[in-house]
Amino acid sequence: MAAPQVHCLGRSRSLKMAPYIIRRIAGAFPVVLLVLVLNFLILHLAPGDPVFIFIQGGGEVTEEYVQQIRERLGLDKPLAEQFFIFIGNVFKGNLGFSHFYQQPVIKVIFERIGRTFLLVGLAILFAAILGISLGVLAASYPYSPIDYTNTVIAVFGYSIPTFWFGQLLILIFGVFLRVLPVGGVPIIRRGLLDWASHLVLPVTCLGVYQLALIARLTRANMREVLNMDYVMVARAKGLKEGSVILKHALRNASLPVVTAIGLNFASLLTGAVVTETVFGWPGLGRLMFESLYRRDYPVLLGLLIIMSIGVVIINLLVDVLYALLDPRIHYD
Amino acid sequence: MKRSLLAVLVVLLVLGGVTQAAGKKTLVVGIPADPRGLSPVFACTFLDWVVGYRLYSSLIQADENFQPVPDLAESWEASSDGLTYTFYLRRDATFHDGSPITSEDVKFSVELALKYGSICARGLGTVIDRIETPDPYTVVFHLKAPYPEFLNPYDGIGPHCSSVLKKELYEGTDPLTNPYNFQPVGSGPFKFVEWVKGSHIVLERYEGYFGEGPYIDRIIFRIIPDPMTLAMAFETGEVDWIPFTVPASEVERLNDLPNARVFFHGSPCGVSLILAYNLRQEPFNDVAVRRALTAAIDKQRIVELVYYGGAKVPDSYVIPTPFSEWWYNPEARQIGYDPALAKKILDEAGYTVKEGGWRFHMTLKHTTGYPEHLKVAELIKEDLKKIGVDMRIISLEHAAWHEQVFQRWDFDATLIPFCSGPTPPTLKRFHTENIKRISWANCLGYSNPEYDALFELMISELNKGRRLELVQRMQELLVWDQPASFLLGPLNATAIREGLFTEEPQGVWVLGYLWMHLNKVKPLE
Repeated sequence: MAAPQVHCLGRSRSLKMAPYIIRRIAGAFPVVLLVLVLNFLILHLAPGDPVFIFIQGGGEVTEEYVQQIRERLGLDKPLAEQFFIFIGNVFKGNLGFSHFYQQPVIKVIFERIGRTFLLVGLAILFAAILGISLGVLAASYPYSPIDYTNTVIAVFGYSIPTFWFGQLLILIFGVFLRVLPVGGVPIIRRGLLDWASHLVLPVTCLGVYQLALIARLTRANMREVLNMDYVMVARAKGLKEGSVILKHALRNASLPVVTAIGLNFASLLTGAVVTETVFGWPGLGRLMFESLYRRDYPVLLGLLIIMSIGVVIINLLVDVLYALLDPRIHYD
Repeated sequence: MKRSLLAVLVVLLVLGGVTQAAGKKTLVVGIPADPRGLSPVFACTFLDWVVGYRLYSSLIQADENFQPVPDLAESWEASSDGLTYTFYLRRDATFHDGSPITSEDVKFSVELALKYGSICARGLGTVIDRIETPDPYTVVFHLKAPYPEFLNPYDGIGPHCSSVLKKELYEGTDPLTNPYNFQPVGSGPFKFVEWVKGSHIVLERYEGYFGEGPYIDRIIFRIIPDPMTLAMAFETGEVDWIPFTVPASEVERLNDLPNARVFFHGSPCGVSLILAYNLRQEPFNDVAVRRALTAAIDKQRIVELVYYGGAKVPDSYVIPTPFSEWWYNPEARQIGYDPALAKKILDEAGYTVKEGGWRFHMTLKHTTGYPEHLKVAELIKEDLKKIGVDMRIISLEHAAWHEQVFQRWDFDATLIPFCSGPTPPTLKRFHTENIKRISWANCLGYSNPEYDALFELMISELNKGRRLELVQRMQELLVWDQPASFLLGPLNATAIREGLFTEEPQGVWVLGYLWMHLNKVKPLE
């Protein structure tokens, strides 16, 4: 009998949420536009001429060649004109043309976006499953060896620099034990197992900070929730301890955890820059790192647009999820 | 629990095995970044060469002594006045789609390279007058003036300028954005299979190749940006060769591995690092000051502390490599490390120690694009402090450094990495005509009419003995005038896993042999 009720409730809630979601999407436009303007200006007003980066090497360069490159990159036009051309193109879905790859930015980004989603998605999953489990265990057995282990892992995860942890993982599992590849993606064999073997280290490296965060948050919230009256009631009703913890306590304790995951999505993307570089993972993070070095403005701006839209969408999803987890929250 | 842990470990071990060498007939090469494109038209960094040139044949190639040998051209002849070169093409050479390579393709490709290839433009852009194709298998080059380096595989009509593209695919298109730059239909021993940007490039042997080999089935270029990860990939056998980019700090460790050979070698184009002075400014317009600063810097200490021994201290402008040894002048020696002499020169020139303990103050600007340059600058600062010169280091992001040094000439002294070879035309760098506000030009403002006159004579002198005299005198002038302190020539380090493929000669093979002749590499049983 309970199922139809939940269904009806869900339907009416999603109807109520629709205007809220539309409002949020509309509100995100100025944010993305501001990101565009600021980043365009920062990149273009930075000292130095990107044409010189384009002309690498020690060969002799003629003035005609420099001018030819400048015109090709569209950098001969006034800054304001460059800006309006850029904005106009963005609204047409054209993110420009990569200086380095000589290909449309959209193509360069979409060649790699799937691999970053895979990495980031698995890192969130890894951090959430392990972090929540550790947090619940630590809260259930406070001041026990499990709790102390949780604390050690959390401190370790918080404080260890990503690039160093990455190198350490490569050294232990790639070089000493030789059980996992040191980096990259599968080349010849592309089976599931080969993908899995290439993912273990970068996912662990990227997810460890989130893991620490989630484990600590879950523990703190669970400790608070487990002292609530309704938990006492559940126990008094004679429910099994597992059911009390997982069904009654965890659902309530998970709200701040979900928020934290959403808020940290941006930091996960920045973490991906380092992780992907250390592990030679050909995703968006590494593309960003390389494009910065190459002053490939169009790719950098394209990445910033895609990433800021990504952060806005994830935060929106978190808000929606929040309402689904907690029936007391209304958005009207 | 124990059983599942064991299962996981077994799976990981199996996977580890899978990721090892992909087969004896596959050569895995580790490189630090994507090439810009695979078309030789753009080639201007070593990455473009190591990948792109496997896919293309050119009129001539280099042998292990860096002398021109036939490739697409089976023979050639030069007119006695040095103004006409005629090349006769092989008739069995085909593109990877099976169509024949003709003189029209060669003409089209060279003209394209002259227009778009920055390195090509250096040597040949101003030299070639016109190209004729009297028949499908003959190409004639008419020069404006004699150019003795025309047959030089690096500065002449070698792979940089004559790698052959298929005219039909490029004609009427923008060559820089042509999609065939990324999925090339080449003319060399290996054909293109796949390029996953940021990850790898796969090439396979071309069965219809006209020359020797290739004996290996496949070359995989793995792109691993982090130098330490690249070194570890070599250590675990995931990468067989790392050309040029093994970090100097890792050379000794990797060399101790079984079946590994890692060694330093000079850059084929003789890269050198100089401390360039702005000769328009006081006190650097005084040659005594420049000489004193050269004497004050302990270059060997820089080599040991910053480059872990992976660099050479030159006597003069030229870093002798197998390709530039013939024109290097051992008699043209800049002043060696001698701080006492440096102080004496400065005292005599009137730059005595003033109140505050300094003779004068100066700045050194360097780019953060080369991380080692900051360490070099710090050691120079220490050395100059000992002779009473106060130097402030200014670190600039690469593009900003370019702008301040090459466009605005706004510097006292700066660290510049140069190519000092492999052929004498690179001496144009210090020509008065090259004082321009553009990249890599004569930003120092060095101008010596005698030097300019010698260069003009040298560039078209066909008599090798006479040309050598001119080139050697130019080096003497550079050392005497000391527009820059010639600090060091960084060496590259290459790593090879032995026992997988045939050995190649040491030393010169890096460019002159290996990278032009991967078709000759055989798998070892």
